[in-house]
Amino acid sequence: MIAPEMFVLSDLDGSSSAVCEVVPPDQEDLVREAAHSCPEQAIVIEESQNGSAISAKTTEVSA
Amino acid sequence: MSDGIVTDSDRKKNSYHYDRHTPEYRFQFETITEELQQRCPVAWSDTYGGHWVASSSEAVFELARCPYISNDHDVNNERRGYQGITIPAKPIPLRAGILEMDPPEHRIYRSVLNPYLSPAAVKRWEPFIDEIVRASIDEKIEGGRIDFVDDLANIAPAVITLAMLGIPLAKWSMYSEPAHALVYTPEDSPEAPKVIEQNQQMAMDLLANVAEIRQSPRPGLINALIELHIDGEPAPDMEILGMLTLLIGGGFDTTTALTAHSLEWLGQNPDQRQRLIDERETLLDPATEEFLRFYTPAPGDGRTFTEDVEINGTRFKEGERLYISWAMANRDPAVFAEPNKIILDRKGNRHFGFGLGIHRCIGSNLGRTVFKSMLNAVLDRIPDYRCDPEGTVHYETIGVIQGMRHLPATFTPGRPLGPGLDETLAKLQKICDEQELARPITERKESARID
Repeated sequence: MIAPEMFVLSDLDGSSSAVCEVVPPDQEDLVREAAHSCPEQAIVIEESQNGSAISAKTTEVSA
Repeated sequence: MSDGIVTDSDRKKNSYHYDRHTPEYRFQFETITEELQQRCPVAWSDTYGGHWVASSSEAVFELARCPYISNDHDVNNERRGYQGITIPAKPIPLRAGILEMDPPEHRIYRSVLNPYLSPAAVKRWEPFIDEIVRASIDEKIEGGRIDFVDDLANIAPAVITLAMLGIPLAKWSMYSEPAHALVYTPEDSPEAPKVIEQNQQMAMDLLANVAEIRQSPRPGLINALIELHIDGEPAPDMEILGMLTLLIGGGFDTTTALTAHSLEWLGQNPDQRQRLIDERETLLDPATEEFLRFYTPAPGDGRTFTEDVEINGTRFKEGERLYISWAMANRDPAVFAEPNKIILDRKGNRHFGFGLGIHRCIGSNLGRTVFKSMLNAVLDRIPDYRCDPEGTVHYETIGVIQGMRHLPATFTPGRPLGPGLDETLAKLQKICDEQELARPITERKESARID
């Protein structure tokens, strides 16, 4: 995992979810790299209005 | 065409003669990929009864997740007669498990496998995997010679797969040989009848294991499939067999192929090998992803369109076949700078090596873990190995698996750290049974303990 502190994998099926929506500044680069590296493009990053913080969440891959 | 009727020749105007099963394809892969991506990222090919070919990352991403395509292999012609994921269709009337199922059936079977193959479930096996790898190298380390395929990369993936299934580990070679040979033996080869016979024996042994485990249950994936009930009915034996052959095909040949190619490349690029040794902590993960991208052991899959549909300007018809190339998408310069170069610390490596969408490889965590265990052991214990190009044998064609048959190497001899393979397998079998390692993560959380 690229940002292991920001995402958690389900023991049961390995699916990934964000541990919290607002990304701490020191994790920003890792989270951006994680989003950039996700083959399913399932990590969504939203920039905040004032540009100082980002939030991240994962979308479900539907079956 | 003013009346809106589109002729076939118009729909298929982006045509390209694409034949991935010829030996030439392997040598022209980069040129063909570039041509397809530049001229017609979604092309019509006249080969194998005619089929579409998706090669760009954009087309592959779109089509792999498209709701109008099916993986179904309707072997008894009960639905729409679709031919599953092989192009051309296989003559064997057996579905390749979940890879040839559509939802909702797909989800039912796949969720049975999840608690055995999730990252946490696989992590429990790490000491077990490391022990097989240790023993495989110990067999060869005093002699200073190894065939990385026969003596290492064939062994560890086979043994761990059998352990997870609940099949006796000692049977690994009986399973390993036919599983690999089925992929690399051409249909017209004089060896083909023997390979088919060996595979039939393997199928018989799988069914014997199913019957045995049904009688007296022991933990593992076979047991999970036996316990599965759909609408109150147990899963049919042929579906269980299809699942098991998929798990074996997916578990054996792919990891072997990735490991052999990576070791060959590192042998040819000793400066990069040294860099990987020196910066292992930060480089091992991105390097693994980069090898997965570059070598893409399972290079693509077939699909079937379920409706007449237009996607990004191309009109597809219900029943038409499509080949989705993970391997070509992995060389798309739109996503990967310098796509034909291995860059160990590549960033933003959004590769297609495990496929995409609901059929994404369920063994990805296991494949990575087994690969890293083998790579680490080689870099730790025989870091100065030199491959012998004379004895190196690649698969003649890369249409199904981008694999290798032999990769002999020499190195400075060292000392074994423990017992050899047979003794180790006997010990691991005992550990497997006593600790019930093959239970799902829901029933057993602890890591394997190897004394």
